[in-house]
Amino acid sequence: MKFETALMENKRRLQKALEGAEDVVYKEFWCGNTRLLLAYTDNMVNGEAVQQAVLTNLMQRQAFGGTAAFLQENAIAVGEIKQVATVEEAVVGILWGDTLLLADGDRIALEITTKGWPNRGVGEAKNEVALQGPKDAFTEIGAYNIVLVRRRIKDPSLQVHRMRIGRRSKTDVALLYLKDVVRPEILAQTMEKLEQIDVDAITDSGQIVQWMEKRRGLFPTMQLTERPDKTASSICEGRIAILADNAPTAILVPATLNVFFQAADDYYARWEVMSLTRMLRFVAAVAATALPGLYVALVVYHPHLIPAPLALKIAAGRASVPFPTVVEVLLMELAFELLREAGIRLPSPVSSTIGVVGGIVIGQSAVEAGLVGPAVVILAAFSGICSFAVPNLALVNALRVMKLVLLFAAAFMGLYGFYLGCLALLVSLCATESFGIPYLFPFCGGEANDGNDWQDTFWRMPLGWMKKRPIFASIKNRWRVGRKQK
Amino acid sequence: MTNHTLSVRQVQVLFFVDLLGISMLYLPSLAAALGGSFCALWVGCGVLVWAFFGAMAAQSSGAVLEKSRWGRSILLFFSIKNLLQGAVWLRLLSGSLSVLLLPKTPLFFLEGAMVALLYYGFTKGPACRGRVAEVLLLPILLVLLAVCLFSIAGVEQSNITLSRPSGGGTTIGLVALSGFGVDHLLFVSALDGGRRPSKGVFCAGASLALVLAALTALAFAVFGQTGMAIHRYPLLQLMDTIDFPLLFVERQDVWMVGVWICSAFLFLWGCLFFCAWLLGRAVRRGSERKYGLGAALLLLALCRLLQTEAAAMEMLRLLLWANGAGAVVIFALFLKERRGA
Repeated sequence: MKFETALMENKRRLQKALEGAEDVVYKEFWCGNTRLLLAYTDNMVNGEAVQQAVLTNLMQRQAFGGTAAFLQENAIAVGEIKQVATVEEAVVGILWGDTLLLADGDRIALEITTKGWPNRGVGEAKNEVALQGPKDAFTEIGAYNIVLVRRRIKDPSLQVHRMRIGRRSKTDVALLYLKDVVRPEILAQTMEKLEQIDVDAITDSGQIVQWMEKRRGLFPTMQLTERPDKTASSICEGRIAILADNAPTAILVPATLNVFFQAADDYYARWEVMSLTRMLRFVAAVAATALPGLYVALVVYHPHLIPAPLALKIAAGRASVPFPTVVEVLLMELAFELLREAGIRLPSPVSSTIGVVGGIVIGQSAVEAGLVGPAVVILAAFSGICSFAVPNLALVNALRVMKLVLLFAAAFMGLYGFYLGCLALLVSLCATESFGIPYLFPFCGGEANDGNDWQDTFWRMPLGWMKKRPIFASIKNRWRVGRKQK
Repeated sequence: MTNHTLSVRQVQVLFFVDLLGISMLYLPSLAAALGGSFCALWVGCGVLVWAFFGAMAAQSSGAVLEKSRWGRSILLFFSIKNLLQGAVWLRLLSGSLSVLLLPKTPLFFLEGAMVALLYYGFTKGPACRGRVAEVLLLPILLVLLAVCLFSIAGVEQSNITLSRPSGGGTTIGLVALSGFGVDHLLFVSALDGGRRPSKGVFCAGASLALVLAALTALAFAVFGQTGMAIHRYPLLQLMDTIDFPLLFVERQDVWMVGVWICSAFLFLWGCLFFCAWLLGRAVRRGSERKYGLGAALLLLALCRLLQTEAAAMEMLRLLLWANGAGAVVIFALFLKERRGA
């Protein structure tokens, strides 16, 4: 619906469109001898900007040129101003924290950027803690997050492409990428997938990931990070960052399984140490997923494969246990998962108590009561600790589920079931692709990009050796070191 | 079933792992019976023959067969051959697993679980099979390397002397046994837009010939002529001779069994895929997924029909002739291709 020339009619239309929104403020005032209307949402605007740059400037003016364009050029001291012609556009602007200015006799309104949302400021990363390197993390304000990335990449080819998703939430989403490094086909796919999202509301980037993935599968094909440094370095590698308003995490695409084992501080410390840590993470992931299943297979079906002293110890520990081994392992896994869940939901002082009490009660008391064997307690605790060594939560969650699948497969058919379970997992992973890139790259198809991607897998080679960008980058722009760098 | 693209490396790896899975069980003991101390040479030559045929198959395009009625009959022949060899190897696999790992579990469950996994793999397409092979190659090679390194300690000097063949088995049988899965290569170029990775395939076959010859020689040096005749699967049992106290597992042959399950799984997956795919090409009706499901069920049913291992071995003997017929087709297509060029 277009604006009319009569100010009162326009006000009535706005009020009708925003009926029930009592936090919207309408202020009428005179500028010279022309009646003006200011509309904005209370507490969503920067009050000082509205007061100083708009109201004071306009009310002190004696003359008025008659059009909104005149005011835009001569009277309002705000950088970003947009002309709008319809009520619908104006309403979105008001709800976004912008201020709408309408002049009597003009069909064009001005949308003045005066956003001033409440926010908690830039804090420290809580889920991706790094011992070395920057500490700042993304916040809920999308615009600030873009700034956090821009501060790290001061390159004109860094593109910020904005779009709005959510029919009702109208969530602002920004795609950040390097124009000359990104692979065009991945960029096109990303944009297409984002444009196809047609839902009521998007309140977090996790929802965007789910709408974009549109597939059944446990393993994440997009990476979530709360670290701006990681986002910036990923963009430099040719990946695309999706920053959504109200979400303190960036989405990085594409994502292969390998990138989920990379932490930000891997690149800030010496490569020898970090290579060791990287290998440890891979071993930890395998152990967290496979150990319970392997234990059940060996103890239940193939005790003859266990060295005799160890087998005797396990048997002695299990002598008074009334449950089958599978139930015993499942009980311990359940207890561990419950402790983990309780630890996350409770306030931090209480959660540490729960951890200690739960550990002692469930560990020691259960063994003393003869409900579980000591070997199973050690196994559950060890596999749990291993899962904490994996630096990505989404991957850890997938591994937790796979652990149960392998456990049941082993309980059903021993080592054969375990092997089949592993093969099924491998088939599923090999069939997965993230934006056209095999999920297991470079473990399969690693010869592409001249095998350079192997330098950052189980180990992290010296930075001086990693001269080429990974497979995510455009084939035309793979070199990341310049001529000066020998 | 969308992704049909295989890289040259994936074709090479698939050829290597396929042939390894079927050769590592029976070939060493058969070669020892035929060649005595020279068993490694026999194994090497047997595999090398098929490396040549593999290169020829990769050079030729099986897709031309679709164009004539005779050609379609040949496609049907390969489809049925894949189904039968899949059933036989599945039966042998489940029989051996029953002896080695799960003596109390009914064979039907072992076979059913494998067929379910094979169908799951089938739905993911041949590119996925290539990727799985690529990922599995490293652990397989690591286990084989471990076998080579650690079983050297078990070598007995008395076994490293000239000994005569003990007899049993034929040269043709040995050569034909090492050739299952080569016909898959005939259709790789049809899957992959006409790329002909013949040189790479020969290199992969030659590498496998070397690896298997080395392992056979080692097994012979450890077990001797008599041991090779007694042991059913010398290469699996070679791993069991390793005494490695730091390992959590007492019997090391489970790792070799793991390698064998993985390579057998890839071979069976290939059999199921090519059975369904070739049937689809020959009949030209219906969707690939339906053929896949039908082939999987048939595979299980045929496997159940082979009630004893002796019946499976009898069928295997028949299939050795089918392998020979396959080789003739490969050679004929290769000649036709050369003449055309």
